[in-house]
Amino acid sequence: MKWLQHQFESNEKHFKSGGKLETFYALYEMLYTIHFSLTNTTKKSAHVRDSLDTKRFMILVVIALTPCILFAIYNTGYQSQVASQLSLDFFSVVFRGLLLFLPVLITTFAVGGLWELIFAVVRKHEVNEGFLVTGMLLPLTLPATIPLWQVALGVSFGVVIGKEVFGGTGKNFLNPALTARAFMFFSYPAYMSGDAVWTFLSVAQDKVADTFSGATPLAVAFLTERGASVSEALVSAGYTWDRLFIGNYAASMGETSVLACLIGAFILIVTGVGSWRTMLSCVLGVVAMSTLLNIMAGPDSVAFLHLSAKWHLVMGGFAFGAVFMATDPVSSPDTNAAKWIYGILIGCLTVLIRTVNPAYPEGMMLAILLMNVFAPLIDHCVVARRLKKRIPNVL
Amino acid sequence: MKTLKVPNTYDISLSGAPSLTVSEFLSVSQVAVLPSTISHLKPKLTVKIGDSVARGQAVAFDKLSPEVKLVSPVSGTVKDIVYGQKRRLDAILISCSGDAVETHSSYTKDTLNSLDAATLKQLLLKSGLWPSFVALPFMGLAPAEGDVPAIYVAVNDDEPFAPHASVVLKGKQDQFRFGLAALKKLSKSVVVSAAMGNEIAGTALSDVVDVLVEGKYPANQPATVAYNAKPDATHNKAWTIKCQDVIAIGEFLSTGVFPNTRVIALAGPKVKEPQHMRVTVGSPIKDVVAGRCDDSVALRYIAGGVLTGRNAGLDSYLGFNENAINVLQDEFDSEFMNFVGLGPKKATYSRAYLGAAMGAKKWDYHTGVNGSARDCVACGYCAEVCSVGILPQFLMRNVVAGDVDESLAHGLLDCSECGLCTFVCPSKIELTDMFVSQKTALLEETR
Repeated sequence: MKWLQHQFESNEKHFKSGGKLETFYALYEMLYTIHFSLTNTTKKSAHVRDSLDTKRFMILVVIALTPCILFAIYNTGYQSQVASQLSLDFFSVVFRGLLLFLPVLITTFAVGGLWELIFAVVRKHEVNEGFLVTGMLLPLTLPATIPLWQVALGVSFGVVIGKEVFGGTGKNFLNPALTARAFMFFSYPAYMSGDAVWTFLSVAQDKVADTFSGATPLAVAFLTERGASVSEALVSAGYTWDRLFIGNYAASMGETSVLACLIGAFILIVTGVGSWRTMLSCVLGVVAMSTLLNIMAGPDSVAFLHLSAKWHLVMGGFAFGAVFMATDPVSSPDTNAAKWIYGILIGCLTVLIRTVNPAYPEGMMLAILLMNVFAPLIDHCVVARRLKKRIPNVL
Repeated sequence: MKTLKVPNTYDISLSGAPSLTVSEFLSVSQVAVLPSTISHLKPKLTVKIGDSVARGQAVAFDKLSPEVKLVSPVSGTVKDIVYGQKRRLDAILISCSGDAVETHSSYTKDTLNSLDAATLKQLLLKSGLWPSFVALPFMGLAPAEGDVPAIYVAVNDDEPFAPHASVVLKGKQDQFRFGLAALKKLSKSVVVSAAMGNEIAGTALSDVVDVLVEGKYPANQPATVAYNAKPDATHNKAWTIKCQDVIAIGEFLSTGVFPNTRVIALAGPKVKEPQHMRVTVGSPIKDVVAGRCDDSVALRYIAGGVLTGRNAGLDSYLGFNENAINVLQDEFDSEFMNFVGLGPKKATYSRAYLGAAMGAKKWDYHTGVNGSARDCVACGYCAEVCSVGILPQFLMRNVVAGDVDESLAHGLLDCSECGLCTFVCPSKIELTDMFVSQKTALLEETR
């Protein structure tokens, strides 16, 4: 380690003001601080500071995402191998999964990282570690067959329009990863929705397994005819509740497993990085709204309206969104009371978009983005109430 | 006796708490008066180099209210006058010699009773003890003019590390009571607070203590008590004073002589035997700490507590209101990839490192910032440690945006400057410094 540190320090002069590579100081600073902690001391009181910094904050989210990432790699490979009727031994499955997942991940980091660096260099500030999380989240929300150029475009939009134009991490009001996904979803719907995109088929169409349909649980639920039961339709399509919970089916690469999301939620809550209030209130919102719809729905209503909360909670990207996307501290409200309102509304909107809106089968992404926009307003109302209780202290 | 539960307090669990023993360290050859350590004082000299001064004799006064005097704590000769940047008067150095003393009239309980408030005020203004009053909301020198709506007296000081109340009060309870009697002449409302569990407050002083405070740092800081106990907006302009300064007022009134010794805490992780010491006011830090610190590494000598104190350095002196010297390690090695891993050796308010689960462990904090400065990521920790109910992340945005009205509505002037929001911030934003600077700017505008 001494050697590495020495290498860094002996090259620092090139990046310092006046050096040949002065412009790229942000790059040097990023690489150095990834490896070695800073030894700068406090200049003002307080003289002592907490050990927590934003690097730790962000890395904990990545650690919490690990179960989802591992499951994404395995499951993406597995679904592809099953549909293509190829070997199902562990190594083939993982190899196939890596082959599908890694290019998306690498593209995301390469393109998104480049944008971060460009903005850091132009604005002369340090590279912010917030992108670490964005870069991990985005690939997990994409289908296995996504073209890499779309990933590049999507992450560019997410980072530049979703974040950097407002000043970078901390100043954005939308979740950058979801902004990127929404951009891709609306720009290239054929690659982001339907039945064909979720599983990568490595063989010709006639060699595909007979049982393969490609329809996601949400699509099955969406297409269930009036009068029929959605839960029965799901079960007969092979989507039992247990399977949806475990997540071994084809959909967005990292969003399928509720179990993996729960492990992530546990890590986020124990370390205090993710808000349990937001997560719990999202669940409450779904339960409340779907129960309300169950009660209101008549025999002639859309079948989806009769689906109980139990199923809503394990379908689509709800669990992933509630645990990792809605809890993004920057784009969610700051005050605790506002977090409850925000989460409950996300849950309600998710169910509404799923069941009532005929255009999109998935509601979580849009619900979170919409509530991101409302977060400052909710905060404003909560803070205004709070300030009224203060004894005024003015000049 | 009321109890007051102060919300959102936190103990940083610093190692090196001072033991309750007091050693005497009174023989110094030189002391200093440091006008710049008294907030919002604009000093004007009344002595020049070579002048002889008596103990208690004025050496400077405040330009804005000339009645407020700074006095020499010892008898001696003015040796040097030190100016800082922009010719700010930093220090008046006085070498000790002789035993000339400026004496004022002394009082007993009865004569104090018959003394009128105006005379008492004039006496305190020229006594040199006036700067021990800290006036809210700007937390600086108390105005010489006008009435004071309330005076908050804090028996305990829970900042790491300040002198322990039992040490300060040992054998001084009568002077404390006498000082309180004087304060009651200055203001209709004198609120004495002590920490829950303070033995003296519950027994010998139970008749004078009004509020028992429950909570960790900064629950017992007088400004925090004032915010949480204030009945209405009139107390926004209350004054605060610490226990030892009330004792000093009591001693001054009963003897007529400037009391020139104080108990200080010499503490912190790098002090070999953290303890209390009785020292002369204005003592050189170098002499007080000599041989008492582990100086195998670079050290930071803080006059005052580690959260609000002044980075004094070895060559400075103790300011009039500075009751502690805390010593921290000021230089340390870079760690390899320290943000990954469990972190059992990392002290944190959050739960992001295993260190948070270490219970009663005391931590050897050093002066590291422990991270790079970033924009606020709205983690919300600052609001969880604000004992005066401010939402620092919102206030910070208003201060940065220059919105004074909104900043005031968010409670800028209630900020007790405790430093905890700055301490916990993972984005390493200098929150307290921002708020203090904004308050100072407002004060400059209003006077």
